Amino acid sequence: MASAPENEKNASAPEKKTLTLKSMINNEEFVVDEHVALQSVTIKNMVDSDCAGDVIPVPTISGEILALVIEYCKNHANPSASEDDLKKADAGIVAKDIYTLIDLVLAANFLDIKGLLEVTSQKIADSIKDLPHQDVREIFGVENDYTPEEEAAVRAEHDWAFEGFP
Amino acid sequence: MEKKRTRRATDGDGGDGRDGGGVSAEEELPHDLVVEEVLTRLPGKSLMRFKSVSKLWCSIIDDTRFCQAHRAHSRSCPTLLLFTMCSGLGGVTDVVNGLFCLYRGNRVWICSISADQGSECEILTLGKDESWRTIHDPSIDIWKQRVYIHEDGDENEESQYISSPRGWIRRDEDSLHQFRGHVALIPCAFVHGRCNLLGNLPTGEMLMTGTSEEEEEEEEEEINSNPIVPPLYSYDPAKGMFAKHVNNLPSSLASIRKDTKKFRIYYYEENITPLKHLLGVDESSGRKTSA
Repeated sequence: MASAPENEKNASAPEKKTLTLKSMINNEEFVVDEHVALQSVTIKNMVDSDCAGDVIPVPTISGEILALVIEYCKNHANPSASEDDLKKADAGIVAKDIYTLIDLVLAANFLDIKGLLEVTSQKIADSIKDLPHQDVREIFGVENDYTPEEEAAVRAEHDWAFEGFP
Repeated sequence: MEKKRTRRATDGDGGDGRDGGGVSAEEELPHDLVVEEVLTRLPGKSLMRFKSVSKLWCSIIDDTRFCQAHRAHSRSCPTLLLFTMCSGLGGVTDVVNGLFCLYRGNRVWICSISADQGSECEILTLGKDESWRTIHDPSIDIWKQRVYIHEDGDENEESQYISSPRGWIRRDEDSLHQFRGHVALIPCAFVHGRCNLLGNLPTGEMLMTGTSEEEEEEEEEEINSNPIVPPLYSYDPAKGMFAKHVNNLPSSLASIRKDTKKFRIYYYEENITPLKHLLGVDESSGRKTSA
């Protein structure tokens, strides 16, 4: 939550604390206001327990993904943003290909940002709901452990759901 | 539920889908996240298809705890369902817990919307289906098994009596309906012509159409005009009074007005729990009370 005073804009923001997040994948660094970064429960816990140094290393998240996460946090840290604005902004952030969305879910899960996790998961669900099951297998890296006969039997049980699928 | 992590095999086409993904983490979604965050948000129809993904996925989608989690999500985004009657079918009940009953003569079939088990009839899910789809053969013949589905609190409805609101004259055409967990009395005196109950809307309002005598004469020319939606009164037993509601018919539904007797609209939550689990059918005795 932003509890910034009214005159904050005029001050040259000496009071405003910032944190630096560093992607350990490609060493990209992002300087963000503390109240923006604190939307991540993971980062909040680090700061609260004094575990956070000047630079907070973020493992397994690329700079590209981290930029999206920070964009989300900035939007949602803005107290004057309307619900409609946020919805539109969220939709823009998750308008990505499925593999970027998967990375984004991983990041939201690691950083513990509930809203981002939800909106990204929903987008993944919307993206895969009309895909053939073979594509879904590939996307999630699931090994097909059915024999052809078994697969045909499971499919036959729910034949109606395969309407329009080869 | 089995807890297992799936990792993408480092096969040749591993990076194919990452067009423009730049420096990505190349990580697979852990299995738990896939199940808890993604699968629970899918429509029942997709899930029935994705049972073919793997044995693990199939067992998860059938798992009671997963079904409950899926229902919890479904509750936040309810679906409208529009029914039409095939010839020869007697009627259809309200949708309760994702299930409904079809009846004809002294035979009753229980049907699950999401899992598409049940008797034959055509349905169209608004916003989901492009065209009518057929629900196939009944998997359980309820009549034979003496299973009855009661709506909440209505187990003994014959012994209860609610007096009409002051000033109303009860007519034979008046009808009682379930509405927001209450019993609603719809008096036909609201309109001078026909009055048809279509069902409940996600807003919690009951949807009705009606035509006046004058309108009926002009009906042919006025297909696109707004149907008259009579005011609705619902009875709240807690307060012991009737409350008035005003409904607006969604414009997309206006076209069904001409043959309203064939249609009913329901508000339902998806429920992918297999029928046999929901009913707790005991194969040996073939008898069980419903939830």
